Amino acid sequence: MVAEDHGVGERREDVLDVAFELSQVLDTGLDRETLSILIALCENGVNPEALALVVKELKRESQDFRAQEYVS
Amino acid sequence: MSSPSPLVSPLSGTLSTLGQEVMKRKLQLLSQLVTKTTSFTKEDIRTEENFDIALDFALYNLDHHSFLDCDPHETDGIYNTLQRRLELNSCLQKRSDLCEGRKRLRRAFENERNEKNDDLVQLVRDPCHRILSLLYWLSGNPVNPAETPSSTLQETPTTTTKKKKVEEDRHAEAPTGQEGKDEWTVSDEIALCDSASELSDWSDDDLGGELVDEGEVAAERAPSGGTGAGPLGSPAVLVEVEEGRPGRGGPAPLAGVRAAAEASERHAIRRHLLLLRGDGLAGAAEAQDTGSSHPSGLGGNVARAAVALADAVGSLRLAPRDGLPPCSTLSAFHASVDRQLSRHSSWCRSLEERSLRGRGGELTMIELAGEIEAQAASVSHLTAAREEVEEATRTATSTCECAALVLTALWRLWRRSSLDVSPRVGEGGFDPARLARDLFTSSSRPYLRMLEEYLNEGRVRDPRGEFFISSASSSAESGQEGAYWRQGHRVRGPAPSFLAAEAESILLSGKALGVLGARGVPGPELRIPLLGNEDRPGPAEPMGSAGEAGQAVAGASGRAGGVEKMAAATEAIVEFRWRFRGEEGPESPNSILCALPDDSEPALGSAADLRAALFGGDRGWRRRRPAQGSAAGSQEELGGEGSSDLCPPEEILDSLVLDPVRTRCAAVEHRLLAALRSRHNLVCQLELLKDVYLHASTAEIGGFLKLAFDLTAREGFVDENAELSEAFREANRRGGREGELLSSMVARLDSRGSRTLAISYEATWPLSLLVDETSIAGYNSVFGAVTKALNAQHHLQKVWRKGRGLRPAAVRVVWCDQKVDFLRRDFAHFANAYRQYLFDQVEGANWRECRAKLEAGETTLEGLRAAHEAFLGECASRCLVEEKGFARCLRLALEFCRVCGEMAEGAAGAEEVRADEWSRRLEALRLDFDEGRSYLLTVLGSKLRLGHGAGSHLAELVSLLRGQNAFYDA
Repeated sequence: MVAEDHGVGERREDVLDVAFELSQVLDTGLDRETLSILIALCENGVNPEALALVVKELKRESQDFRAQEYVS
Repeated sequence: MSSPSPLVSPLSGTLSTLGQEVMKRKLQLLSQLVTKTTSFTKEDIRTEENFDIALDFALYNLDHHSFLDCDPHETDGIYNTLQRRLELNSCLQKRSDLCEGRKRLRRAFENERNEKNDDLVQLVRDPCHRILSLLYWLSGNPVNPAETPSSTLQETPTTTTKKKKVEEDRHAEAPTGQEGKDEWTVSDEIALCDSASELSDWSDDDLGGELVDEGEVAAERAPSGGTGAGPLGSPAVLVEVEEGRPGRGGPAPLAGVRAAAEASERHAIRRHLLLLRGDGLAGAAEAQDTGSSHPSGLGGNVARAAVALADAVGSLRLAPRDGLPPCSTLSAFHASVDRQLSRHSSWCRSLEERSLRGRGGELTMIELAGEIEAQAASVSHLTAAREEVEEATRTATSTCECAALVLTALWRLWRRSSLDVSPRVGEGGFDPARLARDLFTSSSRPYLRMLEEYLNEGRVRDPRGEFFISSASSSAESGQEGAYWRQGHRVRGPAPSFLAAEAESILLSGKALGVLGARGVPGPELRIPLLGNEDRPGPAEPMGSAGEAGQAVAGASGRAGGVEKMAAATEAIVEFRWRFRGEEGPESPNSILCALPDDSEPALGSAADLRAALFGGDRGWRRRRPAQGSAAGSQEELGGEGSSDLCPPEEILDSLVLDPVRTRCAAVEHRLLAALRSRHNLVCQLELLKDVYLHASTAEIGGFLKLAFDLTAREGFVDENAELSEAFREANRRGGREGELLSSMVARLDSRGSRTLAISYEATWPLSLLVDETSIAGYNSVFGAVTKALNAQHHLQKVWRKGRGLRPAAVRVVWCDQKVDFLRRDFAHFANAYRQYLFDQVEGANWRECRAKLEAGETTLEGLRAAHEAFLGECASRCLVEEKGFARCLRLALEFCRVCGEMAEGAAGAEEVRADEWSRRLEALRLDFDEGRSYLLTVLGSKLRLGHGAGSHLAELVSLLRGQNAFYDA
């Protein structure tokens, strides 16, 4: 069982590696850890377009927030 | 609860707890995502509230969105578009990486699926495409060739915040029109990719639009002479490239690079041109394999398209299928295809000249791609046409059938192509209708020449038996017209579909020309204008000419109401497809009628509806005629080089082929009718036929009938020795003027009823044009009724002539002479009334009107036939009223005559023995006759009251019978 989990983990790593390379080609600006979270969410049935929109919104709001903090 | 690795699938619980597990897992993952993207944490008291807000936002939006589920095909489509765009922008490394990455990701998921690990039950379908879709919608501006992946990665919140600050400053300084241009969005991508016609502008936009703007902005922000990375993270090389663009001022440090790129593009174009000519087929596979990384950027697709086009042209150049009958129409079709292929060669040469010498402007890779696309469309159409012709001729068993099938297939293709409004037509690269028209015109030329010769000379030189009529080599000799008419011209096989409606007229004209002699027809000879359109050498242009149809469609739709008109056209297409149960096939050369079964030719009305909706105009499509109506003018307008492609094929064919053919056929037919009336006395012969059959009034037929009545009155007469025919011939020998017609008639007993006379007659030419076997049967029906009345009259007169006193005395006791006379008079009056009625009805059946039509009123042979048949039908309907009832009464009259004859012969002896029997028979005859006459009066009166007869003839008959009845009853 442990060996199987280990195999699954390796395959996941492969998927993450490839997805990260694609992410770089597409200039998504995602780091590896964020990408792994997003992949897991996709595998849990989350709509990818909606998820992309949420991520963009969160990023944008966070940037606004940080900018206001920086100014103040 | 410890957080498991996000790479491990959470689907480890039982199915009953799966939903809860998934929800819990989602919540955990979203918490991590919020923390990663916003830096808000639950543990930090300062950011706890913001964290909750962000998490709620994420949860709500992921549960309540309106996006459709991920579609793998759509995902592949947007990635393919993106790859194409990367290729166009020379981002070849990125394109290759993207392509390779997609393959690897798919392979990784396939390996996972193939192992079928039960512990890894997938919750969603196709996670690979979900991830690809996610990455796509999160992507930045991958088309920017200068932007390296590393430059956008691993941005810290601090740098991001700074960037945002600078970005805000830049927005404040930039003109309002530039807002939103600095950030590439998905909608921009879709808008760019949706419009294929803007392909050539993409690279300019990307280099000269977005990048120039960014370059200008960067130049504004960059310190003087600074070459480092800009505040937005734009790499310095981008600024350098933009500064080095020609016309932008400043030095050109990358001019060498640009020159090298252009040289590389020229090299690639020449290589593709070699592929187009088929010279580089050996390297085709290599081109296909390495095309994606070809330095020309467009290399892969263009190389593949060039190879495919060369293959298609090569297959078109192959020899035609063996086993077909030798057919000049088929040969003409193949020659037409070869001519189109020679245009293809000219097109290739023109491209080479442009590439090598720059004639007509230097050829760019994008232009080459567009040219190849348009040429591929025309070659595809040509291939489809050839396949359609070969499929149609697969079942041909004779040369005639083969020619008809070829022309029918090409005609159908032209009609279908004329309704093609597929997008590629609109792009202006290819006109399928023009190509189909060229093919049809060229291929039909040998056949139409034969048609022209046939309608001019009445014969055709057709050694291969291709024309649908086989004709005698010479004209009819005098007196042999009938045999010539029957055997000189025969239908050999099917006519092409567009000639099928005129086939009968053409055959009739050929026969008429043979009978009359070709010189006997006044007016100009037939010249089919379509044949005058000789082949012109094809210019160096794509096959089927360019763009006129597309412009015409656009122009027509614009003139006719723009958007509304196009909407109407779309509805018309949908309606048309629905009506013919067609399914749209994207690869078909005919986007509208692609799925039509071969045997379902669209109806003319439906095609006209569709065309009216597409191109404007009313449903009937008013034909534009040249002012003087000359054939040349018509040809120039409808079929000439400058003709409008909106003109329907039916109209072109009508004007250039069918109308001249109809005119010629009408002239020939008119001349034939004139000859029939003047030279062959057609009307006189018909009148004689009427007198013989319907009146039995000629001197010869009258003499014959008396003999025939006496013969048929004999007991057991069966005409074994053809005594009737001999009597008929004898009567004719004594005759004069009608001898020729009557000599071909044969008297006989009618097979339907005993003792009923009939005359067999096979009409000779030209009477045979109007009188056939059916007509003679109709004549004989009336003739039978007339002879029955005449027969009764004849025998009643003989009884009257014998007079009284011959009857036995014993009979006189029972039946006094007066009573016998009364009964004889009853019968005689009945027979006379019926005979008079028949004579009147024949005369009353508009013989005068029929004669007027036969003499001058009708201008066609069909009209003459119709007038004659109408007359004969009217006669039959009037004369054959209650035929059985009248026949029964007339039989009683004959029986009465027989009894009278027996009484006269038996008067000498044994009269006492037979007196009772004769008296009983006379009484029975009287009763039967009264009953039969009453029945007739009842039936005819009922019919008259119910409105049968539609005229006065029934009333006349009833009054005749009643008058006689009333007179004798009184």
